[in-house]
Amino acid sequence: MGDEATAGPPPVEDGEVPVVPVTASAAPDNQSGAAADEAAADGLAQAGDAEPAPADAEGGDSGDAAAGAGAEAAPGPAEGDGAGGDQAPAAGADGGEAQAGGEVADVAEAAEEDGAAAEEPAEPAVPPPPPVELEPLPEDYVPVKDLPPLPEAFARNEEGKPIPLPGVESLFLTGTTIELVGLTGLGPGHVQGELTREVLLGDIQFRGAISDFHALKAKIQAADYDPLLIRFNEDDVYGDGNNFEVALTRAAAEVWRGIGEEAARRAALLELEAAHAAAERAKPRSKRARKVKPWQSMGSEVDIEEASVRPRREPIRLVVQRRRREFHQSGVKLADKDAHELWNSSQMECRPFKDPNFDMRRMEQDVGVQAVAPLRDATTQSSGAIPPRPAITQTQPLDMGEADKAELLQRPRAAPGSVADFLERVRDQCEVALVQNEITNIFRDDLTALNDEADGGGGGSRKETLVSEAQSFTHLTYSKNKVVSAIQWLPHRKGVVAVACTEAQSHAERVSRMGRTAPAHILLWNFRDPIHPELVLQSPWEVFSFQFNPLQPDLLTGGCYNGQVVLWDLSAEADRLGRRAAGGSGGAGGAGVKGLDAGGGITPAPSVKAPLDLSLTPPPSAPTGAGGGGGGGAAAAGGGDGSGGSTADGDAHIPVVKHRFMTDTQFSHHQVVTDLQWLPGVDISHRGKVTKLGEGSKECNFFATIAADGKVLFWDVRVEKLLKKGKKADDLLDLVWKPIHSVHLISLIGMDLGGTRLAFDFRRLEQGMFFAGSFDGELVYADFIKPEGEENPDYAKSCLQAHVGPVIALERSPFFEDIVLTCGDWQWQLWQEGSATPLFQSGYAQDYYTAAVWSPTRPAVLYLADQSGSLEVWDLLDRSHEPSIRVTLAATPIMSLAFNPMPAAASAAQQAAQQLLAVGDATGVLRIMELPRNLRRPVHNERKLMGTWLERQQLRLADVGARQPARAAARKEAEERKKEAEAAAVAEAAAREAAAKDAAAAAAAGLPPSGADRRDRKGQHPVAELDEKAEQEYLKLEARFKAQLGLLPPEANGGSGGM
Amino acid sequence: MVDVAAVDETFKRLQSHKGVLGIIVINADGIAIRTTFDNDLTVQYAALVSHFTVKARSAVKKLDGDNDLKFLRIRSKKHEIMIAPEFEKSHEYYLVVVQDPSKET
Repeated sequence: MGDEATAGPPPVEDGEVPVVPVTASAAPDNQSGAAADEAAADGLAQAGDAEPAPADAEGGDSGDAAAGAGAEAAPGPAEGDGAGGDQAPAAGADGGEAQAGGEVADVAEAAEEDGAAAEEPAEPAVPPPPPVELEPLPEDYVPVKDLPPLPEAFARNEEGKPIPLPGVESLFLTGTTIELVGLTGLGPGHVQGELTREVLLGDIQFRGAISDFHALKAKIQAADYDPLLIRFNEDDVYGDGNNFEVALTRAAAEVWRGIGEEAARRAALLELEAAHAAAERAKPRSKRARKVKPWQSMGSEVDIEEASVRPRREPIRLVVQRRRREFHQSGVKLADKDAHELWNSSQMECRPFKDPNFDMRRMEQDVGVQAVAPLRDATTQSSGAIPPRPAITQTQPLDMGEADKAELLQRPRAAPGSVADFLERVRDQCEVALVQNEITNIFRDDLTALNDEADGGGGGSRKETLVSEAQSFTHLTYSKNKVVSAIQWLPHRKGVVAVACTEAQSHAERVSRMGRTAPAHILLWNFRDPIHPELVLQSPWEVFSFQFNPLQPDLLTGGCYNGQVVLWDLSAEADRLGRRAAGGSGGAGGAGVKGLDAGGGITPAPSVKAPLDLSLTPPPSAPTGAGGGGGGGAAAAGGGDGSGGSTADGDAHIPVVKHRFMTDTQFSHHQVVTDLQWLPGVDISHRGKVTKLGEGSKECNFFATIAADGKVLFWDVRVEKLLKKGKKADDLLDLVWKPIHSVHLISLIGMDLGGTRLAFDFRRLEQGMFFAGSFDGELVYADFIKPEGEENPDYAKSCLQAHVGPVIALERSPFFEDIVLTCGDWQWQLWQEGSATPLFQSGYAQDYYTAAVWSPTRPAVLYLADQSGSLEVWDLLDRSHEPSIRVTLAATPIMSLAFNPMPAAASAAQQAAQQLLAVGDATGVLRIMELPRNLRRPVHNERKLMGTWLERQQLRLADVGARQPARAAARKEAEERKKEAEAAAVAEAAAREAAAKDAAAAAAAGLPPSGADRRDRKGQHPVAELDEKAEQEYLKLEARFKAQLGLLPPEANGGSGGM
Repeated sequence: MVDVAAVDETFKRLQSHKGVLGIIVINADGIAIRTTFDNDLTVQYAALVSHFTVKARSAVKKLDGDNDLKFLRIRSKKHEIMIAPEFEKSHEYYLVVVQDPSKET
């Protein structure tokens, strides 16, 4: 091979090598030349490698390529090439011979497939790998699988079917024959064997016609070589059922041998590859050989060629020169400058600027802080050395002997320590102070007075001059669309008001639904909760008047529509409410019953059971049917018929309290109880005898009621006392609560007085005098003490017709005990006790009054409410002919008024500060009104001023009274005169009538147009002669005006002008 | 005796004023030398008023060393207590007059 590499390429081609590689297309004279060039180039490359083993097959390959090229070009050159090939590769004689030996067509067939590859310089001859030792594979080694398939050991006919090569005979060898000729070694994998001609001929000779070779005897004898090559046809490729074929010519045998060698070579190559691959795999990855692909031209070299710039002409020469002296001009000065000077100077074109991206530098900081209270241990110990020292330990006053005292007192003047001297000196000082105190009121609170002055002068804010609503209460179930008929403030609790709600029905309506149960309620409103009443007191009948016991505020009595009086005891409820306010809320109905039970625990057992059982009894069918039978039964029925527990709609938590006792119907009123008053601090006997209890007594056991049946009843609230007397504990029905005293009042016309209001003088209860108002407007002044020895005395001392309508208010002034305010219909009056005429009468108002109260803090102020929903404030010191203030509070009639009670201990200023007015209207709304400060706080000396005002009224009254006789006489005289005048007038009128008729007739003739009119007038006023004259005057005037204005036609004008 | 009469006369004169409830003369030790109250009330007044007066005086003197308490009026809800002190080494007395001007004597 080394020879081939060196000797192969002819010198001419060698010379070509430097020229051709760059421009391969520049001089392709012919294909074969190019191919030869390539081969030569390869050969050179191989030679450079000094590899000793380019395989024979390579040579064959190159020969193929050359043959292919030659076949394409012309047979002639192929020959020449073949000859060249013979010359060049001495070792490849076989290949050369095969090609030269006329097997051109066969080889050409194979070469055609590689034709393009053969033209490509990239298809080089594969360098033969080292056959034995595991040499590294050459750089351009082509793996076996990429090699062209082995040439077939047969030819193909036109249809592509395999046919034996020329000179090859297919034959079938039996097993015997194979054994005989010694071909048993042949089989798959080892297909070729050799048999000498003698063996075959001997077999034919020996076996004769049955020899498998017999048919080929002549051809075997004619075979041009020896021994003959025989081949195992394993696949029966020709389809003739034969299993062997034998080459009878040398050419065919050569082909077979070539194929066999090639197959062997490839097998060896494969082995080597496998070995290399195994070795490669065994190597670490980094050491494995990388495959370098040979360069393939895809046309890029053309692009490079086109893109490359090449000089096409000689470069132009240019010489630039400068004279030496022109360097280093004098105008140029170079110097060092400070960097920052340069930066800031105007010469600096590239000025520094701020880049906001780098402006803000953020730094992250991780800081951990933990707050831990420092612990400190400290101890102290009291030494206990200093014993406690009270400031004063003296237990007995120091004193000096009487003698010493006397000596001091007697010490003469001017002597040291003379008391007389001392007194002399200080006496005047003291006297001045004493006199000062005498002439000025030292207890006057100057600061309060200052405040008052400020009020008077400043005018005050809106809140200080206007009546404003602070809160309002209404409840959908209990009070909506009902009339608030009575209001009571709880005497012992702040901000709690009780209201009695009654149906807005007339008496007739009530009668019509008589017999149906309609429990009524008293609601306790707490300012804290404007939605839910704090407590609901249930009553079997509507309550029109009620009052809390002023000294035992848990007791409360109410007068019902049917005349009975009911008593509630809230002591248990009060505890419960207290607890509820503290936290948990109790159950509703059950708690109410339990509360009653608990309340009963305080009182003796028999009385307890009664109300408790009553309240638990289911409602009887006829609640009012008790009649005369058992009063207690009626009470029981009344007690039981209230709907148990509380109502629905989320009010479950509102406790409902049922009444504890009820008066006996037989002994009660027979009409609606209109007023009820507790009588504190007294004890009333059966005859009405009043004994005053001790000063500061905390007992209040009696109350009085008045009703429309003319009776004033006095009740003892200690019902238990009644029970205890002789009766058994369980005799419930025998509980008869009777009044202890009854006063019957007669009205002006001799009927039962329809009482509406009561007014006692609580300061002088023992005198037994009281006022009562009636439905007929009467004011009764009566004495409830029954005189000794009289069974049916006339209790009334006087009975006066005060008003036209019912007396709706009867109130003693809180400041003047003998002054009573009455109010009824459209008027209110002030009465003085014992007087027969009102001290003062107001003018008639536009609307019917419905309620009236005195101001609790201002003696001269009273409040009236009317049907139109307005509140009138009368300040009698301001004006007495009209209200000072009139405020419309509601669109519905106001039905009741009540001021909150004040503890007696509170000062006037305190009372004034807390004053609130509760206003109930006809739709069940309770309003709490705040009054302006000027209405709450009395003006200076108001009481005195009011006193003088009252005195003035008294004087006026006295004056009027004194003039009464004279007036009466004058009136009488006037009446007589009037009668005379009337008689005279009648006579005169008759005379006039006659005269007027004549005048009318005359006038009718004179003035026809207005005649008819005038006649009418005459008919109407036959006696009005003067009118007649005036009429004529008027007509004249009218006509003149009309003429002036041109309203009349000319003739009429003329006519009138003539007149 | 003349001086006793003078004391008596002063007492009478003071008492003739409207609403004077009582008069006491107390010495520096808080001992009532002469009184118109009963014993218990006198002892109470004497002890309490003398303490109070000393305190009041010290307040005045501490505010201004040259100053001294001259007269003390304690107005209470019910009455007024007037204290006329004299602080001289040899003879220190307090005259206490209690007055309720709204009360008729």
